[in-house]
Amino acid sequence: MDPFANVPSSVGAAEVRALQGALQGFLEATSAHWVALCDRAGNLLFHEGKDPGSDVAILCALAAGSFAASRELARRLGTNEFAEQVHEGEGLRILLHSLDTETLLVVVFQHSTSIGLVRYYAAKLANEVTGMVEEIARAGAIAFGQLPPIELDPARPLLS
Amino acid sequence: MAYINYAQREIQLKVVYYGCGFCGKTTNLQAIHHTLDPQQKSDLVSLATSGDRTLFFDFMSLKTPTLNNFTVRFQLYTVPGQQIYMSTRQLVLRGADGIVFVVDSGWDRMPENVESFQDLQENLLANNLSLAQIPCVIQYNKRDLPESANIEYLEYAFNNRAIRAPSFEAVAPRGEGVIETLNAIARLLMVKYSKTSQAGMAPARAQ
Ligand SMILES: Nc1nc2c(ncn2[C@@H]2O[C@H](COP(=O)(O)OP(=O)(O)OP(=O)(O)O)[C@@H](O)[C@H]2O)c(=O)[nH]1
Ligand SMILES: [Mg+2]
Repeated sequence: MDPFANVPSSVGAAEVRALQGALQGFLEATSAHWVALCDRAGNLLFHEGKDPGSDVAILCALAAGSFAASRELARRLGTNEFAEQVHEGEGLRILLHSLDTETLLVVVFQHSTSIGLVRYYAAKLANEVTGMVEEIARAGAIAFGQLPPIELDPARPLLS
Repeated sequence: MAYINYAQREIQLKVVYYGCGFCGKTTNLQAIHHTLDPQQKSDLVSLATSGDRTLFFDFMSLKTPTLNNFTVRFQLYTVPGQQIYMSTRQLVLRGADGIVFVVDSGWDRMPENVESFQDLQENLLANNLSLAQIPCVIQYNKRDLPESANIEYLEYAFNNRAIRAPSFEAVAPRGEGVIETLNAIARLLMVKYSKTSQAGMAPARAQ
């Protein structure tokens, strides 16, 4: 018998779709390339948009690291945490926006897109999705807690 | 903290390689990267000084399927071991689910190992964690050194707690003991996260 028979596989799926919709709406409104939510530990939560041309797990690890470093710098200099950071590249800009104490919004956009516009919609998006992220996490954790143990395949070591 | 995306059936777990400067943390990640299937791994990213010492962290992500149709993504990080990077280590440790403590077996490196071990415990505490709570594996690296400390001594110095951590001997540049260490922390994490109650799971919410 399938041990998962009683566990709906759709836990959080509707909320995930709503959140993806919000991220897509943000991309449309700003014509930014790519948007992601990650936590401050560097875990990727959700992302939407054009393939940013690099592994998204790496982008999130670096974004969280960069944000953490500037925040610590600010703290040591006795100023407040920067709620937002913009990095300017030649063709691209990156905006890091802190949603709450745990979550970070990462936006990649072109110079042709105005920073003001991205900032405005990023703040709006932040309001919109904070609750959703928490709800998805909570629903997932509850469902996960009801599962039989998740096991790595002993016949297939992690590294083959 | 572990992040579970139930809808996508993915679990992300953060593993931090900790230890004194020059003990072989970066070499561990390089050896893992070398061994893995391309589909299973990301690039290895190293934020290092021009002299190859870790400045901020090394990072790679690897994924593996479970018996029950989940994907587990292990996010591997190293800290910079040199003493001056204390505050950086604290940042990298944030949200860690598991620790690999790498010990340099060289006799002359014992003071640095001990100091790094204390530093780990202080930094865990700063993140409201302790070695009693967080899964940990110990690796005695550089077993090829002619002047290496014996295992009994190392176990006494670094693995002398109520619950012994799994420990492994390694020669990281040759890949010896590297995969064993990684598999051990992976298993410990799976056991912990598939048995903890929801309370302990609060995904994407540290502390
Ligand atoms: N003989 C020997 N050398 C090793 C071993 N593991 C690592 N090394 C060497 O030790 C040196 C330092 O290794 P790294 O992996 O860069 O050390 P690290 O712990 O990342 O150092 P930091 O980034 O400064 O914290 C390199 O020259 C490695 O080749 C080992 O098992 N035996
Ligand atoms: Mg290093």
